[in-house]
Amino acid sequence: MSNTSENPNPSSSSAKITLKTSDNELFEVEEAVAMKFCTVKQYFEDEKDNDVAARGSSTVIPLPNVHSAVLARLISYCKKLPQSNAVADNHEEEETKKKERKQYGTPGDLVDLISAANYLDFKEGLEFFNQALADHIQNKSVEYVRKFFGIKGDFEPHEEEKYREEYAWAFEGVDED
Amino acid sequence: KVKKSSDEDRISGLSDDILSEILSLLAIKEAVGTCIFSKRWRYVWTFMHRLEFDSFKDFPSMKSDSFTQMVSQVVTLHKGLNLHELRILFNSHQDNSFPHIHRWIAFAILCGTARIELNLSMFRLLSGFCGHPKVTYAIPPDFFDRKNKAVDDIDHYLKHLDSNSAILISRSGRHFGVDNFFSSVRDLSFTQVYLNDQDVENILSNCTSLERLHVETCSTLFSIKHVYHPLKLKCLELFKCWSMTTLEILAPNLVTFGYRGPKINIFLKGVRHLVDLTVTTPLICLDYPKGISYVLDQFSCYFSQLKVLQMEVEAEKAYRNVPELSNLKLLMFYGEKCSKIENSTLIGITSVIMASPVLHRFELHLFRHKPCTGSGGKLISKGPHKYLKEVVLSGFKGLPIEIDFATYLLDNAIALEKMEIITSYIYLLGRRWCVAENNNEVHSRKQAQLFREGLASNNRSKIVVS
Repeated sequence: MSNTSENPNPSSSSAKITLKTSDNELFEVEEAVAMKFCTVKQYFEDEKDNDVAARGSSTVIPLPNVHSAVLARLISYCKKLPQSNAVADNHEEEETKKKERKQYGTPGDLVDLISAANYLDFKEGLEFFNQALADHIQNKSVEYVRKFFGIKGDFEPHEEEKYREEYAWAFEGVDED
Repeated sequence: KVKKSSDEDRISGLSDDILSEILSLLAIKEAVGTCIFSKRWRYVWTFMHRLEFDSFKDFPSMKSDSFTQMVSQVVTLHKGLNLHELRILFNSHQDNSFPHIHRWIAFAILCGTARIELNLSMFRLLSGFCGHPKVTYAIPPDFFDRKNKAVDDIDHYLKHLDSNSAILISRSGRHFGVDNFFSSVRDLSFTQVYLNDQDVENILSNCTSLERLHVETCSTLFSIKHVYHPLKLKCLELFKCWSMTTLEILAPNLVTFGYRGPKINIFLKGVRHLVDLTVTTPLICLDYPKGISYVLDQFSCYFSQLKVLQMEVEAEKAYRNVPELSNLKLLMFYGEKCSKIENSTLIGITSVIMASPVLHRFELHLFRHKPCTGSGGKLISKGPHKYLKEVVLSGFKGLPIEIDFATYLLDNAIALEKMEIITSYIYLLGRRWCVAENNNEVHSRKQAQLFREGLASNNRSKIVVS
């Protein structure tokens, strides 16, 4: 069970699906991987209903909202998907997962991965990248988050002060690191 | 190429839906704190799908009045769209917070929230008991009864809220007809909240999608009887409902059943898929009759299909004629009431292990047991156990009898991979595990280490002492 991309049905284990990205690159991916993307799965099922399935792997599924660089990363994440997305049950495991999430680097990359995972309806991926992004907000100062994500603080000082007072409890004793 | 500009703000371009999903991964104070990032972020948190207020975890030093104000503030400002989960855990028992609590629950029901948890327990500190509440919050009468104009009631509870909630009410009128008003609720959990028989009956008949019901520390509940309409319920947990006498339900989908409390008559009707059973005796029930016989009597017809079984440690004779637990994977014994562990007790436990041929994990949690003299004879092996891989022994003191038992398991569980020996006391509070200090822990740990050192290397490597 270590290889999650292995298809339990041997007759279709070698089936490939072709995906076309926004920059017109073609990706030939294993069916088991492609089926993690519910949008693709849905497209495939709709096509089947229209009896176009006879064309099989020659069908090219267009993904006009996904760039090739992003799709490549999503597919590589998909291939090494852990067996279960169960909540880490000890501190050590959580730290390992946190390190793993850190690899997905720049805020721009994360936003692209999240948008693409959302468009593809790729649940595990979306959860993972959402958490990776949340890691950069958790226990961080407002200044850090603004700087890291390039958010421009556009409140007047007195406005910001007003909200800080209104939600004073939200700004008390947060352990920033 | 993917843009990698570091000074360009990309995150703010994500939809409210995605951003609020990300905020749901943060503690509530951090999520609300994002409102000052920029104007774009001002209201993002008001779309969050999950709200959790845990005073113990996130607001340990906040006064209960401030906590109440905070929750009401958030509930007032939240848009109430797609709120899947509302969990509130705090230990205030002042009646001036009660009108607030009414409103929080009303809000959740109006939002069509699937999971609602209200935990007002005083027992949440690690040290255990921290006093009886002077007054206990009770669900308003007929709150869950749509026939008694519950909608008007909820309206009434919400009337002090601002315009947001007015929008919510008008929306709810459109989306939730009175008939399916409670049909979104799937998981309800009340701890230290007074519910009476009628409340529970209203919940069972009106929350037509309810899959899980958890009621804990409630002394106003006497009897639950719901046998005419099959329930969708998959999980029912009744813990420490001290006044209970009868439980009679028709629940064909029930998979998990948990009961902790005094002896009652349990009639589960139409239940065919029960796989997870917990029946334990809280420390306080001293007059409890033989627990295991009682479990056997009421549940033996399910034993062959159970995968998880949690129960009390009892004297050996109680375990005679244990039916085969042919599918059991996890077996947990609690010794909260068992002040003395004797050889016969362990013989009883091993016979249950042996009656479970595919058991994967076994846990024994002893609690403040007194040393008893001598080991009183060796445990006799009834043949090797082929599948047992994990063992946890907590409350370990290194008594000869415990050493004998650990040795027996090492000798007989031929597939054993790990044996965890814990010297603290571990006990159950509802579904939560709590740890109590063993006041002689240094000595206990030393004994456990000595035991470990004395083993052959292949066995020594399996043992973890903590």
